[in-house]
Amino acid sequence: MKKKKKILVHSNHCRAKTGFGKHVKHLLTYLYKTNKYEIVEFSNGKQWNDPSLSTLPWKCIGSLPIDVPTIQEAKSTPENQRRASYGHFKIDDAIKEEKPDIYLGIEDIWGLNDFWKKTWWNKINSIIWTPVDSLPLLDKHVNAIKNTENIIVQASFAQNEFEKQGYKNSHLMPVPIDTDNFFRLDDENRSKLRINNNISEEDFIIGFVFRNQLRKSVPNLLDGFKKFKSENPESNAKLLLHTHWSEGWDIPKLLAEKSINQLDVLTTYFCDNCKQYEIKPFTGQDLDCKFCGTKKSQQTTQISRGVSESQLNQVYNLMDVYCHPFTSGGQEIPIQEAKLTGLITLVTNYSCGEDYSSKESGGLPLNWNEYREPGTQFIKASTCSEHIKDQLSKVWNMRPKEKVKMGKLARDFVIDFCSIESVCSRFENLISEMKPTSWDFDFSYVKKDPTYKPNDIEEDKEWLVDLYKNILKVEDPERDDPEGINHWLKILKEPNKRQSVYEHIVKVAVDENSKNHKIPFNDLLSKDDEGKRILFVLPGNQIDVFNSTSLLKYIKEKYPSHNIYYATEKNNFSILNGNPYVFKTVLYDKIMENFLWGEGQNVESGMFDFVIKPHSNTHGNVNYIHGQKHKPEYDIYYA
Amino acid sequence: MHKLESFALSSCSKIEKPYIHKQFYPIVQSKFICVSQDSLDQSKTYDYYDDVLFHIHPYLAENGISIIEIGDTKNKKLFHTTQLKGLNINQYSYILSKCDFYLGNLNLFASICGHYGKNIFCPSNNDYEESSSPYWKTKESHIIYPKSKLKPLFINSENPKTINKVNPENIAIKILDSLKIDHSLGKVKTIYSGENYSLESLDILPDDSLMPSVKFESSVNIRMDKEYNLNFLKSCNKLNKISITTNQVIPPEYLFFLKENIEKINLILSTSTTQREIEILESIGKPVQLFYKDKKSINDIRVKFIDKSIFEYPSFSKRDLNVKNLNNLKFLSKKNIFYKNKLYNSYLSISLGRNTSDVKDSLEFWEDLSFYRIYKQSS
Repeated sequence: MKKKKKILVHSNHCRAKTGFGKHVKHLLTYLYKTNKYEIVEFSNGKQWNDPSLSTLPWKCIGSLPIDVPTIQEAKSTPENQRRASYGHFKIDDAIKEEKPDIYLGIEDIWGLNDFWKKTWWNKINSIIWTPVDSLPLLDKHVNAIKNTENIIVQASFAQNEFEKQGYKNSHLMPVPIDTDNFFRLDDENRSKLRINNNISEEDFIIGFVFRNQLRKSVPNLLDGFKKFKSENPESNAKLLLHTHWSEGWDIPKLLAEKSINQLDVLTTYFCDNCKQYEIKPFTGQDLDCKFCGTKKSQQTTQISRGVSESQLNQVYNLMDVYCHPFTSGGQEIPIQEAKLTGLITLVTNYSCGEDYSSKESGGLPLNWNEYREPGTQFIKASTCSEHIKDQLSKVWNMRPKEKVKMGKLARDFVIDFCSIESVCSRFENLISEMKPTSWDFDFSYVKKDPTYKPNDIEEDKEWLVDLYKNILKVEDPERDDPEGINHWLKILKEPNKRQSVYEHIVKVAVDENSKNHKIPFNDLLSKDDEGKRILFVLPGNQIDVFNSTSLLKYIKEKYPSHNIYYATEKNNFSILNGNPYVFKTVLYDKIMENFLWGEGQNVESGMFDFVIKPHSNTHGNVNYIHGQKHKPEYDIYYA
Repeated sequence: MHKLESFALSSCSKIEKPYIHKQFYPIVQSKFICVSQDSLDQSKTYDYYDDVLFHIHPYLAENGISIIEIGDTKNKKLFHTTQLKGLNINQYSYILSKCDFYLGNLNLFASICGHYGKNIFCPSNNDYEESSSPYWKTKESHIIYPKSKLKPLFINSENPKTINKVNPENIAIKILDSLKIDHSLGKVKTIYSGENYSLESLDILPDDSLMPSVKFESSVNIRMDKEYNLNFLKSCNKLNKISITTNQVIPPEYLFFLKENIEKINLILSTSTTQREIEILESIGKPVQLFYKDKKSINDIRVKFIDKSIFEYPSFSKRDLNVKNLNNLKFLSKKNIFYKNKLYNSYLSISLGRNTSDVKDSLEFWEDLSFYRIYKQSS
């Protein structure tokens, strides 16, 4: 039987309610069903041995470290914390352990930064699937495509830009969308929906489904709406803003400023109690629910408490046209959902909007003016309100048959371009051509040599390459670190800089050596005492640790065949020197406060038989002083 | 409940004896006490151990008992002590097992000594005795708290510190009593401790010669307000950290000459001080702090220099001591004044031409009041 290709997918966890989470869920479900691949999910935000990961149909490991030295390093700086959250501290271990044929990272590019410098990169088939939402491209994007065999982008404008810069190794694949939940309801049901929400058949509903963020161009839309309404008063136009009104744009203030009648702007209220929704003008938060009668249970829809997919489908079915103005976006899912319900979509013709406003996509483009984002200098779009008005008028004046035709085109476009089947089959085509990894390369850390003395070489470049090769052990410095080489060569143009450059390179070597000299926590434990280990955890001051030694005799005599591992800070270790009851001192980490980490849970058997935390009533949550009045009267002395 | 009892309950265990390894360390003294300033918290750090040792040292020396200071090398050396700082905890465990008693802050050494059955003498801030004192201690041990009817503050840092309200002679008496050494400390009673008594301060008073090449580790304050001598000032360029206190402008060339050494300048203003003069002092780019002595007219000066912060120059008088009779009063000072190659403990001593510890009603005495501890010694 042919061996299955092993694919390691690194991203948000497939159960996370995020864009990346859904992306992974759809992709892995598809690949799993083909029965052609051995799947390993490497999930950011989850601990390496999180027991909840064992309930998936495929193997899943978390990307957060569990061994104490790595945890401490990961927490040492904000940058390290960020890197840890993106799996930088465990990815090498995952690759070493799993030995996949294909690595796929689905993440913003800064989350995968410098992965292309890893030993295994491109030795395994390496793929990055990343959104690009603005131009110019970041250096990170360019470095990624330069050093990675396959990059997948979600919008054609990004692919075009890569090609313009001479890179032909990008592929266009949007985030796969589940197309089953969104469709056009029949006319009878659409009419009922309108009646239920006090919307007249004659009302022209312009919809916008969005997270209320500043990149969504709400003021521009309001301006366009106002102009359209004043030019077409007979349209009975109403704006339906399906969003949360207590974040981002202060919409009531904008309405007042632009003299737009609040009754012309509708929103979705959701009852947290009965889970029913209601469309009506915004009149504040915490309204009483008309369905279940609960007081103050209705709020505008939001991420944590909002309508279900089928309710959202109904909301789209209340609309006559969908309008999505934005400054930029990697892939705007509501546009695709709207198209699936047969709506004509008006979309800003920038970044991913280029794909969804084209004629073939059943959309209409919205013109925009360029502005630059301070700091990043990204090109951003300010959508023209005049053009919003024009395009709304176009739809308003469209014959019903034409609308239906365009709507059908829109739905077909999404099914063809973004459906799970469509995207995942294209992805499968890509990986089917990839060869299995031979795994003949050496993963072990190459120890740097900070003792190397530089040769007396006259030419700067040659001298620098010599240091790279002999101190940092870089095989081909000009290929592997061209930026570094250029940087140092610039510095070496100044007089008398060789010594400081040499010292810096030596320091890098020393730091790298010490960083890579790590002992996994498991290796600190004896191999002979499995099932007979007690972890005694006590962080804090020396007096506490000294006093606690009086408790160990009782524990040891009660469990004579168990070994006591004492976890505390390093500066307390000497207090425990030579203690006959302590088997080993180990470095304390906050993770030990969670007894599950040590004792295990479900299928995780745990490293310790049990964990003792004597400080649970004294550190942080103090519950022992009792005004010096209330004292134990039972015997706590061991004679 | 003591914290250890809570530990025992939370870990389903019972309390036995603690254990700490002893590592041999050679000590030549046969009879000695250990003293340590190490502390877990600022609020539990007592500042007057020098005073305690000042009171007990003659009696201990008479009885052949040495004083060994242990703990962190960062702590300032205490008077009359042999230094054994910077050893490891197991070596200290050995040393403490051999000592006669422990004097110092409530720290690990106090707990270890208590475990070895040695007496301990520790001042403490206002706290519950049962939860704050070492779990093991002898009956003759003393944790000395300040007199207070208030409940404990339970804070790690406070200013002023309540622990410093424990008078040094009270600790000294408890120690000598426990050793059964006859003493006359019952006649000593602290009546005042200045707010700066815990701070070391060094003034240099210019004279008609030049600054000799003496090295001072701490910051020095050159008192040009007392003796305006530019040649002397110029000769201070060997000093590392200089503050200058002056009541008249100093020509910029002198200031620039010392610029690298100057930390700040204190200018005592008068009604005739001009904006320009302040600007000259500020021109070297070091902080200039402005003071004015007359409390009654300070607001007029503040109006004159409305953009500047002007502080009242601290001044004291007999009224601040609140004692009518100065007889039998002695003072200890944390102030050092370098003048004509000699160190004095106060401006009073300079005026007398010799160091004194007798309180005297004079301007020179009162000006240093905040640096004094004053005690009554009955005859």
